[in-house]
Amino acid sequence: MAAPLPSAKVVAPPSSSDWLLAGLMLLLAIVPPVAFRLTVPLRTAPIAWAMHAIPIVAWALAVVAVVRAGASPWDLVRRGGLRADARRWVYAGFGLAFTVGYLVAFKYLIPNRLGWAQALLELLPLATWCMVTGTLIARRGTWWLVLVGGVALLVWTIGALIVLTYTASYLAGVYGAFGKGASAGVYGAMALLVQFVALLPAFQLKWIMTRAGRRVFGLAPLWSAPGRAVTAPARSAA
Amino acid sequence: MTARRAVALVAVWTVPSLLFLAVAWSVYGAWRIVVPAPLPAEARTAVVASLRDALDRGVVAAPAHPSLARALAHGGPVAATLYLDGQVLGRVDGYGATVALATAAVAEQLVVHPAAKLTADQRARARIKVDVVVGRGPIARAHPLLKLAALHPGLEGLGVTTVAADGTRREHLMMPDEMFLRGLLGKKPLSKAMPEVGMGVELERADRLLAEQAKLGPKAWAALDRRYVRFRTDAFVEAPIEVAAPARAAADRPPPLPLYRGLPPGPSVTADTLEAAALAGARYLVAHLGPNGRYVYEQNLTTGQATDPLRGGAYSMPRHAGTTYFLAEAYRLTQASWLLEPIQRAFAHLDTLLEASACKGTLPDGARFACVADRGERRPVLGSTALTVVALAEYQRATGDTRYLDMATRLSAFILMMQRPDGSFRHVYDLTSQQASEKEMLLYFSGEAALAMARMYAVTGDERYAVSAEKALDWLVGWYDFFVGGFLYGEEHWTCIAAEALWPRVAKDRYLDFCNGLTRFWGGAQPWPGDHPDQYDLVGAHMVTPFLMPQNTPAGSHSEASLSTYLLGRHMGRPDPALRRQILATLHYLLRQQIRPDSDFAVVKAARGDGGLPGSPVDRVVRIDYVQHVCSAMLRGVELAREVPRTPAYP
Repeated sequence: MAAPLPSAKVVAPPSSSDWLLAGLMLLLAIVPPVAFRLTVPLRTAPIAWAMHAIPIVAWALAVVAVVRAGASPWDLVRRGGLRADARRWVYAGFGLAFTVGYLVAFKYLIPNRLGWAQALLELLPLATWCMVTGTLIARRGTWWLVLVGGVALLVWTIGALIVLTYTASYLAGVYGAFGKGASAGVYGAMALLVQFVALLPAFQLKWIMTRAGRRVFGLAPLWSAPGRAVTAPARSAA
Repeated sequence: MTARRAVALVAVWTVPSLLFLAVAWSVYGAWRIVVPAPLPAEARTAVVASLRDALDRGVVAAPAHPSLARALAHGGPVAATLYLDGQVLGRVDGYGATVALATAAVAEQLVVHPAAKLTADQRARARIKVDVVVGRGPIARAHPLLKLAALHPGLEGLGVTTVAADGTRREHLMMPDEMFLRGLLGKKPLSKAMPEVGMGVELERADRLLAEQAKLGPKAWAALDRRYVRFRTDAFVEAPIEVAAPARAAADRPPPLPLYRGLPPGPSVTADTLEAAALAGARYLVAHLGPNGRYVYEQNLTTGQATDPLRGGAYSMPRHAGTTYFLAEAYRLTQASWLLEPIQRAFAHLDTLLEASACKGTLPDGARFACVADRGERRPVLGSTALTVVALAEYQRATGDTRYLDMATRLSAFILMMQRPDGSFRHVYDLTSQQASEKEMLLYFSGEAALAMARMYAVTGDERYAVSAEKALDWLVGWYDFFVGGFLYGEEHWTCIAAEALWPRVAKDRYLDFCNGLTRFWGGAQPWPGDHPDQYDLVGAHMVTPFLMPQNTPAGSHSEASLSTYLLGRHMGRPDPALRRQILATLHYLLRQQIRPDSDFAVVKAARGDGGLPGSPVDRVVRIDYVQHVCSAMLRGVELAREVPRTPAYP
């Protein structure tokens, strides 16, 4: 007796809301690089400029992987994340808000006339956008994208704090005093830096390192729980 | 909790702090120049006596004092600069292992230096300034931001060691005070709105001057290997002598004066020192008043360059009027008769301008009006007219002479015409269209107009002026009635002067509350002893941060307003002792900033600089309004200093 045939794989046709969401996400993937191009000339910051290709490439690779696996590209949207977890949408939402906020601030509120300085500022929306893209796609490879974006933000914060400390120490060394106003200003700047740059990646990195966070990306836990076997969750088509 | 977790927890809480502490410690240590205590007065006297022996008698001997056995890193040097009538005759640098040996090296060179070939009279008048280089540190010349704060202005000099192709090393130094005497400091404006407020060091120009000092052309200079340093000095200068009796006075010359940021210590604040300083300022202004009644608007004390009152060029009519107001005030308070003719000359110039101006007419009620417009000025501003009225009224208060009352009445009619029903003022009047601009608002003018109205009420008793001044003050004070209104203030010094001038006709608590808030705001920007250890000379100044040198003019104008606020509080039964101390501290700072015979060694004779007030501690340009505001504050501070008789009011 012949073995029974496996049941046919049923792919649901895309709904109009799937199309809308996919289009929106693709559009959003393009917006930050375009906005970046408007603020920083290519010749002044070619490396930072080129780095903005990272989230676009990540998105494109994810689409290719889905197609090669025989699934529809909109599965990326419909079945993004291998395990439902509301935090995925929360972090993506915060990341999106920070990206837009950074771009608006650096373009209109605190633009820098020095190209290299503007490029340094532009690393922030780039990093948050990497995290947003990685979180929305939520596959094994994009876990690294979130990690790199988050670590970049933390390193940026530490670097900025060191620059502020260096400046304050330099001025105190040359002038013999730093002054109450300047001290308050530096402490304020440090607090704002932590608040507006470091907090989001700190929390999100914590999440993607946890068992639940890794599971969303289809990855095994980084550390075994005492008395529990470590197994990778089953992979989906993507 | 496992041991591993505990270690991780401790590391998380301590490692970042240790990292930042390490950064702060290493950076501070790398840039800080540690300087020893200044030489005691006896040691300074011994150094100068040794150099005097070399200059006057050709005798070379190392000075003897225990403090002079102090070792000098890098061999010093000790630099002696010879000044005669404000001009540098020459400088000699002597290197040695100790201060005494380096001084002897200077004396040896001084004996044969061409600049030392002077007559006995010139030698007596000459003043030797000594800089002992006591510490060196690196300088940030390349970084675009750190360049703005490359060295401590006025306390640190710039040095370069050149290494020629054959390995010959030479050192060229520009002393800390030379940096600002040559206009190299604080010249990069931070804002277009206030071009006179700047910071930074003109390193490129300083480099060119060092090349000139080395007698090398640009190419030869560029070919050298150059290593730059910044350095600090312990500086002092010979005290001046009585010019009338140089031979006798030379023997009795007082001990050398210690210098800090190029200035010797200032006098204590007493009624006498304040009055003398204010009159010195008035003498400066009278000496800088041209025969046509126009002032020498700006005077460079180092180069002697000045604007010419007989020609065109930069001039400000509000400042002309304000300066004349101060002279009238000085006459009112001191009755110094030598002030009368210059005041009348300055008024005559205003009268000439009024006659020539198209800014005049008759109002619908039949009142004649006129406004002050400078030659060729098509859009006169309210401030010129308002301060002219203030000056004319002050003259009448001082002399009882009503010869200018008609002029003041016509000008006041213009001010009333420029006032809106809500009490605010229009600030610009277009002569072509004969219309006032409704949009343009300029700094100071509303407060000046309020004061003009208050003063006109004082001299005429005409109720219209009191109503106008009250409406103006209500509007000015009411403007700050918003969420953070008590935390932020504009330049409202004229407002508080007007509020006091209008008392007792109008005595509103809200005026006093506003002015108390404003003076507390200024007091918050005023350093006190110990706040900035390297900048003890700036105690009492009005400064935003230690990195930006304070401007002397706001210290003066704020003190004028603070004095009015203090008096208004006293009138209304609420005198503020803390405000009195704040004012006296600022006056102490300003007394030191004024050019006096003991601090004028680098002021060229042609500048007639005694009594002048430079723009800042690292500036050597005097503008008429700098003197006006500061000396007006000093003169009005006399009353404050007299409150505690027979002792210095400050410090």
